[in-house]
Amino acid sequence: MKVSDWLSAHPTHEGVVEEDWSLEQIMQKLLGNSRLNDLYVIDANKVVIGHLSYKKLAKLVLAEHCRCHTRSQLLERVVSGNAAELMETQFASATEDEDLYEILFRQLDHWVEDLPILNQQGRLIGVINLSDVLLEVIKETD
Amino acid sequence: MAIEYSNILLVGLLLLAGLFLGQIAARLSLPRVVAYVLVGVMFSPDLLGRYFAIASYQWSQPITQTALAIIAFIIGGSITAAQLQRIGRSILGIALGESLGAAIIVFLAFWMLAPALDGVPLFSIALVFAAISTTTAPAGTIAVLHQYRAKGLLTNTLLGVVALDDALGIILFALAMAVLTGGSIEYGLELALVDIGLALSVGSVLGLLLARLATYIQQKDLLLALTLGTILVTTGLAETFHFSILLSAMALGFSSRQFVFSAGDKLFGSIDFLEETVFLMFFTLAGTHFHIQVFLQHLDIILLYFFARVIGKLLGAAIGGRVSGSEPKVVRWLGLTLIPQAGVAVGLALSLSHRHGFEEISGVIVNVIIATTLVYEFIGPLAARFALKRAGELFEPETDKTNNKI
Repeated sequence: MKVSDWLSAHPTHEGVVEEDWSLEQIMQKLLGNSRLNDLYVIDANKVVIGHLSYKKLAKLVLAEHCRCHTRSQLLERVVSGNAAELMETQFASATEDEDLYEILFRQLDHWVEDLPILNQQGRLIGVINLSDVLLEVIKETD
Repeated sequence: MAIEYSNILLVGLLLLAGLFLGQIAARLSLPRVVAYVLVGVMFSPDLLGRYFAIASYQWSQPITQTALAIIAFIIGGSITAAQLQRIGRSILGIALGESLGAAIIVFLAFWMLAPALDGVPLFSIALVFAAISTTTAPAGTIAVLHQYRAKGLLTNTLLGVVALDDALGIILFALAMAVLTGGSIEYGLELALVDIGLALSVGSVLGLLLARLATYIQQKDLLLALTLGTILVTTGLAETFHFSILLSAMALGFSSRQFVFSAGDKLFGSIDFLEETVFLMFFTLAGTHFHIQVFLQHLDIILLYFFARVIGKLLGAAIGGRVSGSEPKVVRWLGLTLIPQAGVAVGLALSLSHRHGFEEISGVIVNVIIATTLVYEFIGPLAARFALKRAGELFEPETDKTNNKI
């Protein structure tokens, strides 16, 4: 199955934030939709430029309750950055003409629940949720 | 007949004993680094080292140099230019004040009061101790903040200051080393500029290269090899061309974090993963340099360093706070929270053992730093708790026990 076929059959929940959003704005977006696990940062041209994981954001919010701090975590507590400073610029993605089952291990290798599907301009056209695909695979094997 | 144990066996024992005692220390709210040093002290020549002696330290030189470079790389990579711009006058002013305050008071105290040591000029000894005195160890203090749910302006300022001052310490130490290599002050300063310029340039260029290459590598394990390889190349170049290993590694970390244009979690995550094992190996080995005889013979120097550094931190933080316009409670109490000293100080002291002109005296310096580190780490958290309580920023204690990292 092609990624494009999957996307047309499965409505996606796009977790997109802008690069100048604060941590508070990002968390509102993340927690506003219980199905969101990964957020993607877009620039002024709507091109995806980075990735924010649920785990990273949760760690930032809960930092003051954590006894274990690296120096960078100390500074993040004092001067919290915006989305562009918090994001990872290296992230896994796929295009709609790829085979669905070939990209799944990319998700597993990068511990990404929501894999972004990008067009040629690097804009987000959908997201593949790992749990959705797993459910489908289990149904097929049954 | 005494058995000659393999060095590998002894290093293995050090690692396992350090790991075990480190876990106990964490449960007692003590920094694990202190436990590692204590294990090393237990295996020092006057104690268990009589039976399990490490035959030679020659093989350990590349390990300690690399470990130090990794520590400096992580310190450099924890700060970004954007954060420095936003961090505020108060934190920058106090970090500068307490670092320079400790350095100046320790320098003056040693220059005026310290006895001569093995023919090394007092100026050199004073400068070395002054540079080492700037560093702090946040873990013990962070444990207090966490345990009592500390919150407020003093807490926030403290977090920023302890995150920055080790970087300042490394810069001052590199500067001091370059000045001492020069012989005279004029030539020394000239040499210091060349040394620092080279270290910053090489570190920055290789940092840019590391950040660019990292974009082509997706697997975390390969990213570790890339990062470690670049740290080794930087360290090797610094050793070959005689510029500061610590400063170039710190510049490498800072530059790669800048040029990766992101939080750098992937790039630094791989080396962070290695950090605790590096600490474990480095600080247990550092502890084995402890000698009871040297300790007893130089109690006067230990006391001098101990009190001069505390006075310098208190005065420097207060002056830095006042000049930068900090709130009165920050000016009054912050200095007391900056007493702990551990990892970076021990590392800087140990780096002298391979430095020309310091081979003889480095044993004394390492012993002074190890002895004072142990005392500072017990007193520091108590002083921090007192200061935070007086500033009204302590709340209810927590009961959970987890681990410290720094």
